[in-house]
Formats: sequence, structure tokens, C-alpha cells
Amino acid sequence: MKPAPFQYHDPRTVDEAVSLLDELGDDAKVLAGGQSLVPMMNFRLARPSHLVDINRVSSLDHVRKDNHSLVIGALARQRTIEFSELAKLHNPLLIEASHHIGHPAIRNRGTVCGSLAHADPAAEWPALALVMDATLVAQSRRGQRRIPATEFFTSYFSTCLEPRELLVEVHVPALPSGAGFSFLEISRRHGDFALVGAAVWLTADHSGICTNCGIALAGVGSCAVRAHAAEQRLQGERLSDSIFAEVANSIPEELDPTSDLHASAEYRRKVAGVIVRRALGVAAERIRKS
Amino acid sequence: MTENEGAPKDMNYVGAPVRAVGLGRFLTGNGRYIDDLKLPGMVYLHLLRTPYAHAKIRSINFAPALEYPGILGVWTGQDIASDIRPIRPVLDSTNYQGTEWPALAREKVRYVGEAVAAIVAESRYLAEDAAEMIMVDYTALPALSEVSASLNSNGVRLHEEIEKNIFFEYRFETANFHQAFQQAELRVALEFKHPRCAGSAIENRGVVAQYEPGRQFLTLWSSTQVPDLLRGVLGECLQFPVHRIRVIVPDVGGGFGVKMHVYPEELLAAFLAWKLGRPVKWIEDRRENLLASTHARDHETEAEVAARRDGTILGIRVRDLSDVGAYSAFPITCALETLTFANSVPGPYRVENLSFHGMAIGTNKCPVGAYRGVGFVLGPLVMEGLIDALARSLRMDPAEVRRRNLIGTVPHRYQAPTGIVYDGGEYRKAFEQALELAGYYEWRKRQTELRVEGRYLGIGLATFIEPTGMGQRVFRHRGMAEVPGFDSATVRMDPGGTVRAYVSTPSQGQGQETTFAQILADELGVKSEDVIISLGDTETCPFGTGTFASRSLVSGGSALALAAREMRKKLLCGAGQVLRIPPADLEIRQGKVWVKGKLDSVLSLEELTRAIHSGLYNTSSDNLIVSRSFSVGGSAVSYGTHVVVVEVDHETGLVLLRQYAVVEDCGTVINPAVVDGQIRGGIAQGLGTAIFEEVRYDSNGQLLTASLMDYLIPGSLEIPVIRIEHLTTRSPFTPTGGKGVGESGTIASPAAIACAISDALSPFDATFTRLPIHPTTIVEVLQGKCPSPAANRVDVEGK
Amino acid sequence: MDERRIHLKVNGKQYEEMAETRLTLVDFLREKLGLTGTHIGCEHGVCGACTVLVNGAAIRSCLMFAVQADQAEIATVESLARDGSLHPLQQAFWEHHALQCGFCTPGFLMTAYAFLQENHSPSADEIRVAISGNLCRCTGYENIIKAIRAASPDMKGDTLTTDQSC
Repeated sequence: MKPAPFQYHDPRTVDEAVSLLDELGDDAKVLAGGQSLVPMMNFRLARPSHLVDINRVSSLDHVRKDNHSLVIGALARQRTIEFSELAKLHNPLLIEASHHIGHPAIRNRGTVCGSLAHADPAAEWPALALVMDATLVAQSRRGQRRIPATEFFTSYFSTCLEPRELLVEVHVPALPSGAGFSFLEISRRHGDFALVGAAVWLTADHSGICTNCGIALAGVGSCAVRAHAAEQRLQGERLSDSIFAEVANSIPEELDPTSDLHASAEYRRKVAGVIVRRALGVAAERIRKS
Repeated sequence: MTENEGAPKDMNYVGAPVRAVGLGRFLTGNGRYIDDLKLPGMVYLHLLRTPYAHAKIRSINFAPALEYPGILGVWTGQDIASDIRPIRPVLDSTNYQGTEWPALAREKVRYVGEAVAAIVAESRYLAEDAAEMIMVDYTALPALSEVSASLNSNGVRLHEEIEKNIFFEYRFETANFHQAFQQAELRVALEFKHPRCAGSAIENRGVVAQYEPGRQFLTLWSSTQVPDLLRGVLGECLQFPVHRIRVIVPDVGGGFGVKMHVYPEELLAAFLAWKLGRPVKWIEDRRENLLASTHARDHETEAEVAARRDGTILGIRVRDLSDVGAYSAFPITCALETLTFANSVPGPYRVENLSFHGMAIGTNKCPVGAYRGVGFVLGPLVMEGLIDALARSLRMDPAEVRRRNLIGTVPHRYQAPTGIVYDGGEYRKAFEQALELAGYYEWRKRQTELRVEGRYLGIGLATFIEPTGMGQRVFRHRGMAEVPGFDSATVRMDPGGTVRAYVSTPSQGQGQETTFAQILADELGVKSEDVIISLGDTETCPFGTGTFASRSLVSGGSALALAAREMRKKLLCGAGQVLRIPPADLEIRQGKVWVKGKLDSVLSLEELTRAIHSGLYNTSSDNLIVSRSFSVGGSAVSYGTHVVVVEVDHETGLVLLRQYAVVEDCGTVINPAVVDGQIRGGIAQGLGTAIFEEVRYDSNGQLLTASLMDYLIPGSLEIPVIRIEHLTTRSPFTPTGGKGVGESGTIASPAAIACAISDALSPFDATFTRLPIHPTTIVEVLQGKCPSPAANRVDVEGK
Repeated sequence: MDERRIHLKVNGKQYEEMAETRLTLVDFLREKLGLTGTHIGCEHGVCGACTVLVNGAAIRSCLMFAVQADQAEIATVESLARDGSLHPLQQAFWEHHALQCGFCTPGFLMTAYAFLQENHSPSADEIRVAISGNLCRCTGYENIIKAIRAASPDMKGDTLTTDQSC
């Protein structure tokens, strides 16, 4: 399983990279972590005639705090987030999700932005981007575009990025202070793609009434899904197991998952509700403890 | 003469967890696996494989590929038709229809992945590029993608001569079967499914072939389990003199039966090396491995138990359809699954009345071959599933129903109704000990407590027999004419008093280098460090069957023990001549010769060997080389009990293994670490097929599970800690008393796990007998969205 | 053919080689440098048999191109043993019978090596998680976990020497 031949480019700056993309258009693919792209190339399911390797664009290798957001550069590895002090402080939901992303060796190379650009509906990061209302920054020779996560993912493995654009960073808002959170995933084996995954956060006032929340799901359709109706149901309610069960029961209606080798649509629909319920329970428990 | 005659009195090595020999090279990255071989001028073979499940080949245009840089040539089935004969394994049975498996497809292709062209290039990368330039024009034919399609195909045949695509059929029924079934007070019937699976050793297959024009000699290195059989097939299929062929087995990264077949690629590499005059290497990639290395199992079974109300089983009826793919594999043929399944019922239960009817049906899928456990896995799956269903019907403890039906302590030579002889053991003791090891009754209490909390714990029990190291008698009885059934060993003294041994059963990781050295050291009276075991070279190793079906210890190890005993006699005889002391007064220990009863040794083996080799003494043993063959006369049937405790998350269908306990008897244990390692690895694979692994095709015969992202092999978080205890009932039929153990883990684990899951979810009246037990299946069954194959219970009136 | 000249250090030794840009790192190590200890099991990043260290991090060498390793420091299984003596991790694998066919072993060793650099006294559960990306078909994993546990106390402050030549 050897890849087809390609022309290799390794730009050193963002400008060089986007110039190349502008010139090469559809014929080029961006190589960052390679953990999704290179397997496809080895199977010859992907055969870009040009590969633009951005691993030497050192300006993309950063994780920093900017106002209320974590700014994650295109070369930040999954592993970097997993062990990031900034993430621990400002958005530990991201760290909890990281533990489910493949295995350590995958996380050593795979990048956050790569996962977002790849847009596998079963992946963790698209759901995280939605639940945190992240903003993705795309650069091209024409300039920069700031794209809300809600507009970024369009379908299976599809985003609104154009071939000449490079995703350079993602801005992920911090969790509100005092928020509880949980990332839960059901997979056949540890580290496999989620059959269903849930990213959840919530805040409550001192009497236990939910003031705000975010619920997003992976593996339940052509894209990650933000469960708006469920969130609205939860807002203003006292946190309790019964409200979580009720909210969870409303989830399946919002979803249109598909069947594949690993799970049926019916399974995904039903289990989505189950893990949202469980995740809400964990998140609420974390509020209680803090 | 019993096999124990001449056995050594002191065992220093046998039974000890001697640290495995030769692992150092694997640990330092100095193993020599097939892909590590590099020869000067070597070129690379790659195969173009068809994307059609069933199609006629109209034309192949490979001219563009020849223009590509680095391509030495392209060959099609037409090109090699007269040069390479197809693989056509024989089964001596009137119910068997043989198939011809060509090295490259000729007029038609019969499964996705079948090779249609061979490309030889300076690199694998270039060969893959060139393969894409080859234009093959196909006319699609209806794809018989499952057994029902093959049986009702409206005349569509995989092979012209085989009607209804029935490749093999087998019936067995005891004389009083119908009577016994009529006398039953109740009957319980279930459907079972065992998925198609793929052995998936971490090392893919490979071969390197080299032809020396000067000596007119062909050497083939192959990751094969059967070097002697491969050599024979090469000779026949290439019409090449066998005595000018050498097959060498390098280090092999796991075989599990998949590497015991002779494959088209081996014939092609050999032929092309011969024609091109350059060494040819072919290494399979993982996609090819999942697509075109033999698959395994794939059964749809109906079974029924007839019993009395006290739980005593009167009879078992089995009807099985085995999907064997497009071609019969060499040497075991497509009859393997059916025949071994038939022999695994009723296992260790005392059931006198059996009826078995099995059919092996061809389909447009990859050929099915041997994989650890083979059809022996189905026996426990069926028996234990039926027994648990019976227990539920009768509201009896499943352990008690088993207790009532297990054979107890059997003497040597207990004959099951199938004709298999069990060579002795304490079956009920193993069962009881396993229950205790697992804490069965404590878990039952816990199960009741947890159910109240809405948590679902389940306990699965599986008892099994494992026929191992089968000899000539069994293979003749099965009709497997291509499997000799015996193995051989040569023992040779080297000038330094060290010992070389050559055995016909090569390794794929089972540790024969170590265990054989232990046997030899004890038999001969030397230190195991002074022994070198050589395996897998037809130039030096004596002829034998090879390693599969848990045979290397029973067959190869026994031949080695006998050869060693003979060598010991020779050495004592020679020592007697040299020392002028009667051999009966001498003994060999720790590599030295001693006069019995004396404190100091009189001669080292080095001195003795030198003396004998010198020719100075009138010794008849100056050759100091002994070769012996062995075929187990009776049988070597290992057995045991597995107990597994699971917790099922009924909302997500995920299964957590809480505990796993095994009590197992494989006779004399040569090396406990090796034996336990085999059991654990086998259980991991059995667990795989119970929960994760399934080779799946769509209705057009397209393989859906063509990567390890879809064919799910268990990882470290999926395999529980396993407690193992042993009974050791020496086999009277092997010189060491040892029996095989390689497959025992795989044989019982799917049954144990399926039973545990069914037990956990029995409050929902759900039974799970179709593997793998997917989370989706569990959730949908519990939701009532799809029926579980609930036991059909028939109460016979008035009894 | 698109190729580049690359400079890299492998097991402490400096190399300068031409590499076609599509040549994977594992093929480069095995074919160009003759370091056949790193094995190919799947070429799609699942089995972990190809695991090597690149600048100290365990990665799947089947998912990286050799040209991406220009200026990098690579460590393969051949770097573990020192002066003919086995590394404590290798020794522990041997003593605990943590391998049978040995094919997956180099990948496990490199994964374990990198893991133990960060976690000096892991629990069995932590080890299970750390090695969950390496597949073994022979052992059932239990002895591998025992071996890694046993090797842990010896690992404190250990670094793979950069002065090893192979």
C-alpha cells in the first residue's frame, strides 16, 4: 500500500503556503499531522498531485490565550492540548476529549486544526468547536476569513474551506467560570472513532438552576450536531437526574444518523440520548464539587 | 511399547518456566522475518487484484504498464497457464468436489481480490503505479455473495463441475438417534452464527524466491507453516524437480493457520524468479491480507438438544452451513470446518446420540482455510448455548446442568460417539476447579444483588475438548490426502559435545526453540544451553507435516524425544566402548557421563563425542545422528473449562469483562510461561470473534472490512486479566506425556462470552447466539426492535 | 521522480541520503538504512508495529514521509541495547515472556520507552491505556503490561544515548 507519486512542497511561512495553494488549487492537499491524510494516500484513496507540508511553518505552532479564548495554531498537536496548562486552566473539556482521540502516537502528530479541516463527523474536535462556539481562521492570498464553527462544517468530510485556503488557527472560548463539563464517547474499542460522542458544559446559579449550557454530538449525522432544542429545554431548569433524562429523551428527534459497519442509525439515535444524559450528570457533579 | 518406555528419570527443564531462547534477536530488532530478506538483484512482485466478485475476463491490456520505468514484466493467467498448474487439494471422499485454484485467474474471477496479473518491478512503489495502468475488461456475472444465493443460484455456478455450489457434504448419525429424540421430555432449539473472520497476524504473508542457474536450484523463503508440503506443491505445480527445491522458513510473525496453506503468490514468485533469473520478493500488504489471505469459520447453524426434565441430555442434532468461499485451500480443503465441527460435538459431555449434517457451500468470497480452533470452536458454541437455554427452560443452575452431563474422570481411551478417542482426564474436576477459581457462586450472589440496581452481570461457562497433534490415522479418516500426519526430528551430536536438533514443525512464535530444547536436554541429560534447535529448512530438517492444529509439541516434540532417547542409547553404548564399562552401569547427566552410584563424572560429552568421532574406538555409533518420526497413535485430547464474568451496559450494549478463569489440562506442561502465553493469546482471539471481529461483504461480494479500522482486533483495553490453573493428566500416547494447547484459548472463549452475555441479559428474555455480539445488536434486541434467536422450546406431551 | 536530499540522525548516527518524497519513513529506515527492526503491519496507522521516536516522541513511521524527517533525530528499536547488553525494558520483556512471535515487539518497546520517560511508576491501568494503540495477536497483552511495570523503576533519568551507532 504505497502512495501514488506527488510533488512535495514544504513552505516556511504562511505566505508561502497560501501562495502555493493559490497556484495549485484542487491539485494540492495540505499535510499537517498526516494521521488521516497519509492512510488515505497509502490506500490510494487520496492521490493529490501536490502535497503542501506545513510542518515547517513555525509561526503556526502555538497555543496561546487571547482575551477569553484559547488560540490554537494549525500546527498545535493533539498532544499539546492534552498537556496544555492553558487548556487545563481555561477549558479542561478539551483535555478530557483529547484522551479519546486515537492513541498517544496519533496524538503526537495529529493536529487540532487538521481534525477540524478533515471534518470527520465522528471526530471529537468538530463537536468541541460547535459546543464552544469556536471561530476558525482561514488564510488565503486574498486575506483572512473568520468562520464561525456553525458555518464551517457542511457535510461528511466537507467544510466551507476553499482549496486555496489554509486553516491557520482556531479560537476556542474558555469555559465560563464555574462551569461543569463532560466529554463522553462510546466506541467499539478504546481509541476508535466514536459511535456516538457528546461534549457538554453547563453553568448554574447557587440554587442549582441552569443558566447556560452547550450540548454537541459526534457520530450522529453528516456533521457534528449542536443540540439546540435540548439546550433550550435545559436552560432555566433545576439540575436533576429527571431533567437530564427528559432532555436526553428529546435528543433522538433532533438527529439523522446513518448506519454503517459499526453501528446502526437506530443505535446512534438511542445511545446519543443515553450519553447526553450521562454527560449532563457528570457535568452537574463537577459543578457541585467545585 | 508404551510411549513412556525409556523416559528420563530426572526432569530439570521440562515443567520449568525456562526463559525463552532466541527472543533476544526479536527484542533487539534483529529478527529475520521475510520482509527483512534482501538479496542482490532482488526485484518486487505485486499483484493486480480484481474488483469484481464474479466476472468473466474478456481481455487484459498491460502494454501501458510495460512502458513505466522500472517494470521488468507483466504476466497474466493466459501467459502462465501452461507453466503453473493450479492448486487442487484432494479429499478422499465421494461427497467432496475439488476446485482448481489458479496462480492467476484465467477465464474468470471468483472473488474480489483474486489476482489477475503479476507485475515485477524494481520497487513495490513502481509496481503499484504500473498496476494502475493495466486495463482489464470484465463481463460481470451474478455475485453469489452468500450461501443462500449459492444454493438457489438458478444455475449460476462458481465452478462448472460443481452443482448447486455444494463443495462438500457430511452426515453423521448414531444408530439410536431418532429414538432418543422421541424419548425426550423436552427439546430446545437455537440458531447460531459464527462470523467469517481473518487470522490477522501482525506480520502479513511474504515470499522470496531465488533460482540459481548454475546449480539449477530453486530456493524459496516463505512465511509458511508447512515447508515440506509447500515444497511438494512447488514441485508439482511448476513441474520442477522437488529435490532441487529448498524451502526455508524465516522468523514468522504469527501464523494462526492462515499461513499453513499454499498460496498462488508462492507459486508465482518461484516461477518468476526461475524465468527472470533474479530473486523475486512478494510481501503482502494489510489490505491484501484482509482481502485475499484465507478467511475462516463463517457458519450458520441450527442445533437442538433433546433432554429429560432433570437436565440429562439425550441427544444433539446439528445442521450446519459453512460458507467456504471460492476455492478449496491446500492442504486441508474446504471440508475442514465441517469435519472439525462435527468432531467437536458433544465435546466433554456424555451424549450418546448425535446427528450432524453439514454442507460446505462455495460463494464468491475469499477462500476459507484454517484458523486457530477451526470448527472445534463451534462445538462449545452450540453445546454451551443449548445447555444454558435448557437450564433457563428448566430453571436450573447452568452449572448443575453441566455437572449432570459432563464426563467425569475418564481412563485412557474414552470413545466419544463421533469416534474420537479422548485420552484420559478429569473433566469434572477441571470444571469444579474452574468454578472455584472464578468464584462462581459468589458471582451468582452478586448478580442477583446488582440486578436490583439495574446492573446486568452475566456468567458464562464453557467446557471443551481440543484434539491436538492429530496423526496419520485422523487425517486418513478425514480423507485429507495432502496431510501426512507425522512429523520427524533429527538429533546430531556436534564435536564439542553440543547437540543439534532439526524438527519438521517450524515456529510462528510458539516457542519451539525453547520447549524442544527443554525436552531434548532432559531426554539426553545435557544442559539446555548446549542444545540448538533448527526448524523450517527442508535442506536439513527431516520431512514432516508442519505446524498447525496444535501439533508441534505432540508430533514434532515426540519425534524429538524418541530421537533423543535413541541418541542417548548410542552415547551410552559408545561410552561403554570407550570406558570399557557396561552401558547399563552408566548414565548421562548435566552433559557428562557418570558411573551410576559414583560421585564424580568420568567423561564429558565433549570428550565422548571426540572419542567416538576419532574412529579410535570400535563404536557402532560413530555417526552420532538419529532421525525418528512420530504420529500419535491414540490421541492427545486436551480439555478444560472457561468461566467468564461480564457486565453489560444495557443502554449502550458495551460489554465489560470482569473476570476470566481457565482450568485446563494439556498433559505434561513443558514450559508454563509458553503454555499460559498460548492460552492468553488464544482467548484474546476468541474474544475478538465474540465481540469485535467480522469479515463482511456486501450483496455484490464487495469486501466492506478492508482495513484494520473496520476489522477490529482487540487491544490491551479489551482483554481482561486471565487466571489460569492446570491439571496435568499425562497422555499415554506421547513420550513426554504432553498434549497440544495452542488452540484451547480460542476454542472455548467465544462460547463462554456468548453465554455470559445471554446470562447477563436473561431478565430481558434475550439470548445471543449470533456472533459477533455487537453493541447495536444488544441495544436493538433489548429495545424489541429486532428479535433475538430465542430458544424454541418444544415440550413433548405426556412424558 | 520528486526526490530530496535529507540529513537526519538515526540512533545517534548522522545520515545523508536521497529520498523520493513519497517514500515513507518506515520504508526509508528499513530499505535505505537497513534498520529492519522497525516493522510494517498495516500502513494505515492502526497496529503500531512501525512505532519509532522522532525527536523523542513516539510516532507511526508508516504515516510520515522520510523527507519530513529532515533535520530530525530518530530512535528505533536498534538503539535500546547498549554495548551488547539489553536495555532494562528489553530485559523485562524477556523475563516476563512478553513476546511470542516478536513482530509487534519493537513497536511496543518504543511506545513503552517513550511512555516511561513521562510516567516513572505507572499503574497497570495506565500502562494499558498507554499501549492501547499497539496491537498484538499472540500474547493477550498481560505479560507486556507486567514487563513494562517491572521495567519502570529502572527508567528514572534514562535517555536513549545519541552516541549509538548501529
